[in-house]
Amino acid sequence: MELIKTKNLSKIYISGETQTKALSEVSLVIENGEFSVITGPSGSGKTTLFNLIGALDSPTSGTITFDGDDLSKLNRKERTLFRREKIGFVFQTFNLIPVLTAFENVAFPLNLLGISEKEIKEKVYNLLEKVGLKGMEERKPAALSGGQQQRVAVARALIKEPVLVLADEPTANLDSGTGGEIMKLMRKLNKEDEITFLFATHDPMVMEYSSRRIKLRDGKIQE
Amino acid sequence: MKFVFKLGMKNLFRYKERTFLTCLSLGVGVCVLIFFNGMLEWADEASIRNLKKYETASMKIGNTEFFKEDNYIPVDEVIEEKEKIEKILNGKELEYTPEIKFKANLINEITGDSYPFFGMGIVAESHKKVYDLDEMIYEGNLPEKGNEIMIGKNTVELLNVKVGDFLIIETDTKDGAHNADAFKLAALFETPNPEVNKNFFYISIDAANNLLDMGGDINLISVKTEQNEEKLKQELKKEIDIEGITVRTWQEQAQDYIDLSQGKKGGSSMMLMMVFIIITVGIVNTMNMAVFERTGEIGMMRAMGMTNREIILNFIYESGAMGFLGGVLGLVLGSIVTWYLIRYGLDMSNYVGDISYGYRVSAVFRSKWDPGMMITALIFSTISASVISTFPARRALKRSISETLKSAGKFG
Repeated sequence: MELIKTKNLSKIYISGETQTKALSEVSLVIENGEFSVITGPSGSGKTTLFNLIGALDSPTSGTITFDGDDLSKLNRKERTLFRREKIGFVFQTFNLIPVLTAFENVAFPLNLLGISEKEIKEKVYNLLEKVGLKGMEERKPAALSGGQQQRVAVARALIKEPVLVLADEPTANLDSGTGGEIMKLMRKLNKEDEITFLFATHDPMVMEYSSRRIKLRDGKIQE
Repeated sequence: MKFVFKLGMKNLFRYKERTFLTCLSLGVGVCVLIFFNGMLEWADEASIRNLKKYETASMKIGNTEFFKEDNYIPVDEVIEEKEKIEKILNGKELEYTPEIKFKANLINEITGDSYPFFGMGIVAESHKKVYDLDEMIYEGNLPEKGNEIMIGKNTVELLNVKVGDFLIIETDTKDGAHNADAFKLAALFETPNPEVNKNFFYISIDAANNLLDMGGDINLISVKTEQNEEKLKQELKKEIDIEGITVRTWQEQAQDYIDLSQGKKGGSSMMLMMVFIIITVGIVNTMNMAVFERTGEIGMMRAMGMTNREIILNFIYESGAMGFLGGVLGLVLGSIVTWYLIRYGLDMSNYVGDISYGYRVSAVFRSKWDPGMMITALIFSTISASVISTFPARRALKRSISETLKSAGKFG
């Protein structure tokens, strides 16, 4: 069943009199439960495509549907609520909130959804155990290793049981051993919970784990 | 919203040193506001007290022409039908005292130094009931008879005289003739009212009557009352009903002070504005830094579905708490300063000396508790800081999410 469908998706950035075509007529379908990778050199349009799929930005032309809903028709508030409920993000630099503990960082998306404290506690402790961080709940990011921080970030992306997880270079700041563990973890969660994962990466190891590769070059799909 | 508040509080202590310095600058601003306000409130209260006790009484009754110009004293403009007025005042059981006010030069008999003053011919017994000048005499007594004179401490220094020396009073009589006589310095006073200390000398009403050739006339009656002055003035005006007789309340007599006091209200607004500027600069700097450093974090929070309102609220809580803590610090510092001033005072005599600046207070500045202003300062500090923080936060939210995320490293 198709989750994301883009049709002739284009994005042009305008800066003064300069126009940069970041994405050109991209048509693509991502099925539910995929574990796919978008690859391509810097400037190929990976970021732009991620931003559009994640409703962080709007296309210049073309359509993008998510579970049948046209994302380009959503206003700013609706896009925010869409991201809040349906998308999980994993960032290259982890982007944890330094003043919050591992527990609080993971609980953050649930707080946004207004889930009760009791339910949050139960869910967060379970997931932190699942990602191998049992006993580290009260540690702040500065007291965690890079791999542990990325595990927290993965847990944060998954805690609300999103429809789609967008992960940008999730292994870029990790050594190969830790990177492999993180990928295994995400693959496991993908299989167990049937969550769709979409990666943007240059890392061959990430590509090895993926079930599908989408190549981008100069804003166009080369697949 | 509880977690947004919690996050704001955690961010408050993220950069402890910066938060402390911002709170300190706000605290100093609020402390300065409390310090000046307390001192002005005290100056106001003390001035009114010192005007009534030593200079104007509650009100004065006199010839309308006599009151026309404050610095021109026409001694020939006397009170007609003073018996009728005294009868009315007695009927109302009011304390009053007759006076002869005149302009004169005081001359040191030996050196020949001469300075202009206001002379007051008084009746010691009734004067004590209307004024508190007798309590401020540090040598001698109120002049009661003969050629005895009482002068202020400042005048002693100015004329370089001591008790027992003779001073010449040179003046014009009621009929305009020039007259002078020698008076023995018999008493010295120092009141908390610098205008009285600097500008007045006192002799008995009999001596003034002789010197000015008044023929038993007086030109002023000072009245003391605890009632509303304006209301009593209207009553007296109606009852006295003599053409050419005017009743002037202390407010009308001390117009220079009233003008200054009115100006003080504008001064308080200026001080609030000054504190607002301190708060603005402090908070804007701190919050600009916070927003700049957390641009990526803001992008991440937005990407995860935090609304602009929640993000702004997060900064409002953080900044508002900073304003509150700064305000509390200011209250503590301001309270210490106020307590010190009330207890010990701040001796400014070396700086202000004899300079007249409208307030009828001594050069030892004190303060007054003003809980209203303290609460206002705390609320003002908290609200201003909260409101100001929204500007940098809104500016950060104008940038696209993908742009802000790039600040944190890389996404996509």
